[in-house]
Amino acid sequence: MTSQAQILPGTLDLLILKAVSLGPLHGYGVLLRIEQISHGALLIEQGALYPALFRLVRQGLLKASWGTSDNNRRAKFYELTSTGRKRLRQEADGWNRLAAAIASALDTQPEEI
Amino acid sequence: MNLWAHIRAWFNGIFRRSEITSELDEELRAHVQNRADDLVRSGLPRAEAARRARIEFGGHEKFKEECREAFGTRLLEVFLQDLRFSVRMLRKSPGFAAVAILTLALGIGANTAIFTLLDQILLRMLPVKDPPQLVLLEIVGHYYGNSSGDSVVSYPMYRDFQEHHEVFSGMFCHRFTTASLSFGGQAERVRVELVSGTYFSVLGVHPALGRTLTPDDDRVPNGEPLVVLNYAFWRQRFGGDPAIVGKTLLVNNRNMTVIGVAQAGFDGVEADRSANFFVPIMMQEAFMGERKTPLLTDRRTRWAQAFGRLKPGITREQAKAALQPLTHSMLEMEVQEPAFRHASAYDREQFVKSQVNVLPGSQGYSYTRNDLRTPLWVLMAITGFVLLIACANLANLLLSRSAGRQKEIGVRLAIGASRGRIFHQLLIESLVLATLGGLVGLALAFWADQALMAIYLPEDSSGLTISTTSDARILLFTLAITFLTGIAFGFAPALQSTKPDLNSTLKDEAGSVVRGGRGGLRQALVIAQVAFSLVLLVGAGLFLRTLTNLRGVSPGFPVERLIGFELNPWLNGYTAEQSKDFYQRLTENLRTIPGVQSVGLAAVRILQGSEWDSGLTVEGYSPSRPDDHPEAYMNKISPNYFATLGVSFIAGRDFTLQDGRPVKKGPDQDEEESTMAVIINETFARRYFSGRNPIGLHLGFGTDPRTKTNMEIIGVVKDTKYTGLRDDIPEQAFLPYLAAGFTGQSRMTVYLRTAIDPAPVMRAVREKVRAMDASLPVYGMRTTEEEISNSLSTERMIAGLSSIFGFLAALLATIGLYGVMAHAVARRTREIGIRMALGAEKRSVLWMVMRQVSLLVAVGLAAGIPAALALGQLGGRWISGMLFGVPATDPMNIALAALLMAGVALLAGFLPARRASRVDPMVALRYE
Repeated sequence: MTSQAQILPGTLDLLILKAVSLGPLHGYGVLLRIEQISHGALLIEQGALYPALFRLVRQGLLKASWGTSDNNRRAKFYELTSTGRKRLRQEADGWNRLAAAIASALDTQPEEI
Repeated sequence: MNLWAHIRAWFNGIFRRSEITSELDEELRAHVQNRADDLVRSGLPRAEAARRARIEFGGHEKFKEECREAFGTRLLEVFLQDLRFSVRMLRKSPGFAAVAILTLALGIGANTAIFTLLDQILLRMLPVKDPPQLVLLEIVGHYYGNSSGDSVVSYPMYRDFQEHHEVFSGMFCHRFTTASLSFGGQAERVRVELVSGTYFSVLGVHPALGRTLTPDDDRVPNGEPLVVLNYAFWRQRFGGDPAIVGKTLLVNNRNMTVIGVAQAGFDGVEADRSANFFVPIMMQEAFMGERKTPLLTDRRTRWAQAFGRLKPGITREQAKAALQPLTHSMLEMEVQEPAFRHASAYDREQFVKSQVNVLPGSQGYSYTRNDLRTPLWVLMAITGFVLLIACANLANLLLSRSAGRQKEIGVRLAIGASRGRIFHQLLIESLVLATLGGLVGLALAFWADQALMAIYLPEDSSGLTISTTSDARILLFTLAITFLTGIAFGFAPALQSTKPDLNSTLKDEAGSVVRGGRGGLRQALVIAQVAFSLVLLVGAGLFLRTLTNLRGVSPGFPVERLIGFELNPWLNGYTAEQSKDFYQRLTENLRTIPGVQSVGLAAVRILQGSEWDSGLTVEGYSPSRPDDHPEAYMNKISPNYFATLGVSFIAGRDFTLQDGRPVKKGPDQDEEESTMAVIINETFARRYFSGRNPIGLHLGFGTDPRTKTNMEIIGVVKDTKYTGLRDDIPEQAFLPYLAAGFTGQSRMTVYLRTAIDPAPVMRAVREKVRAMDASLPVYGMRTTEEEISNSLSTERMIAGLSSIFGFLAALLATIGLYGVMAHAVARRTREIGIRMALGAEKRSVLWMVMRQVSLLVAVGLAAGIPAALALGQLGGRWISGMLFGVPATDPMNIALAALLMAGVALLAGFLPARRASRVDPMVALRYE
């Protein structure tokens, strides 16, 4: 983990939705999955994950159920609801458009003006 | 987010809070364990791994809080927490809590009690369909004919309105009357509403049993002997017997058939006289007597109230405008009728100028309401003031409490509680107090209303039903004032005590009490209390003086040992001859009762507010203006009436039985033309015969230009009151009750003067009447002393309540003043100790404190006196009907109130002042 970036405010929800969309996960699993899919480039404060999960559940984007983890511990698993899936698509589109716009803006050379 | 998820989350947040919290704990623990497992796998020793995992995770509690917040129930949690904390804090100071709750209970209870009365008497609408659409018609202007009741029209006029109007979806008319009911061998007097066939359908009142009246039951005069019972009367008198429909009742000696029972809760359209049953108005002769011109066709007698239901979208103003041309054409038609043939040009001219008025009818009609409107609003204002004073007192208490809690609040601020959170919590504390006070107040109000009803409502209140139980409206009112009260007294103290005031905590707060800062607010509150209390005391003084003045008024005859009662044999089927005979035998029989000195009869019971007045023509007197014709209050009396009352003759003589008999003066004269004897009172003689001897002069009934003056004055009596003690003595004229035209169709009042205690005589009187006719109800039996006391019931209630509230207010203000001074003295103990150590005398310390007390009281009075004067000026006209013999701005009264207030307040201030003067310098210097 060489250069880790602080995540932008508001993007945590999007990352959680993405991580969970790849398969049901418990809280710690969400953390590992985000590390994995960002190739260790994003730093997430561990405790901050849970308020975000709670919020997403309350918004009906995730649903939670108790099950058993790989190491036979009781754990709460989160999965995407259909509204959550829709929201992920919208947010991802929005993010990609924004990222592309910012990238193109930053790529601009003086002679292009 | 979908609504359902939201609701579920809330529901979970509220009801599954502990479950969710423990799940959350488990989840967070699992996270830290998983992390530790991974760290162990990467090579760390277990203990170190566990430590690292915990550190990486961060503040457990903080995230838990955030999770709960994410759940959206934090606000509620905070509220519950504050609530628990507030209750705990209050339980720690039970003395304070008790005083606060009691103060609030008195304030809120008084308001609820008065509002309960006000709501029922003034605000409640009829329990019928869409009451705001109902209106009552009234013809105002110069009238030519007889009129009986308020806002009444003649029956033919009602029918004309009903047939020609375009603004109503329906109309009905009604007339309240009393009757004699015999059923199951028992005779009693009942209240009856004579109603048109449209009555129930226009009001939208349904039958609870059987059917109600319809226009088909409203066709044949004297031919519709039907009865619809009032629900409550049916339950009470007939035990709710469902087989009552079809049964026959003997009403005024006539068989009438019960066709149904009206909807529960409907008592007729007169708010203060609930009808026991309803009868078609076609039957009016059986109730109101037979006349030469039946009332149903007579346009010259107004006796029924006409109501209409406005069509949707029509306003009262539009209705009035639409009905005026119709009214005018009716009047134009009436003035051409033979009844006007003797009327003067002036009378005709004025008569057709009459206007129709469209009054709101949503509350039906009530005499009590008109009498009690101002008194009840005045009482409501008074209790409002009391509540304000109670609020000021509590704010003061809270301020001195918050001074004691400075340390606690300081600590809570220091360990990170936000100012808003503490403010919030303090306000909740106030609301808890207010709620408890409100609950106790509600109970108090219920009890107070019951007591008020028992004490102040005359027993014979003719069916004015006031329920003292609280319903949703009353509860809502109490809830609203409780909440407002909590905010009102809690807001400023909460704001003050959470103000970070480093200066005052570093510096000793001691100083003069008459300086700014927290002390300033407390003093302002005390000053306001003193001022408000003064206003209330001034009010109480006015009403007490009114009552005393009225009690001192003599009706013009001695009231002791004078009994009156009423009967109406006609209602039991007596003919005129039978009645005449009955009254004569009754008079003789009653006279034989031991202890009875004298017996007299009168058609109008005096001092009851009832009146019978008539325009007269006076021999040798011509009015200066056409509208200023002589008028007198009339009565028909028996011989010995004046002797019984104890009214002496100034000139002439009393009636004899002979005066009642028609005298024919020649063979061609019929009874109508015969002369009749008349007695007048002093005021009449003074006004119309100034200087002349009235004996032998003549009067005539009516004011038409060619009225026959066929009544010969045979006597002049001393003045007596007529309608009531408050009213001036009117011109009066008395006729013999058995004079020509005696029909016996109205009730008579029998007066007895006794030589002994009236109670046993009353029993003997009932015995005598029962012996003569067991089925004849005797009613309204009471002594004149009771009658006068009843007639002053409103004044007594106002005087009593305003005094209680005035003293309550003064007491609260005094407690407030005492609190402020005691607190100030306590804070200055050390300073006072130093002063005394340096040689200050006890007396000068006492004076030092008393000076501040006097200043507070003086400022309070200086604010209160002009306020009382201004209120007297502004409200004087409004309440002038409630006062008697004392002007609203009476300086003597204000001075007395101010003196009283100052005296009590100075006494309250003296206690802490004396304590200050007894401070022991040694103890004081060691203090703190």
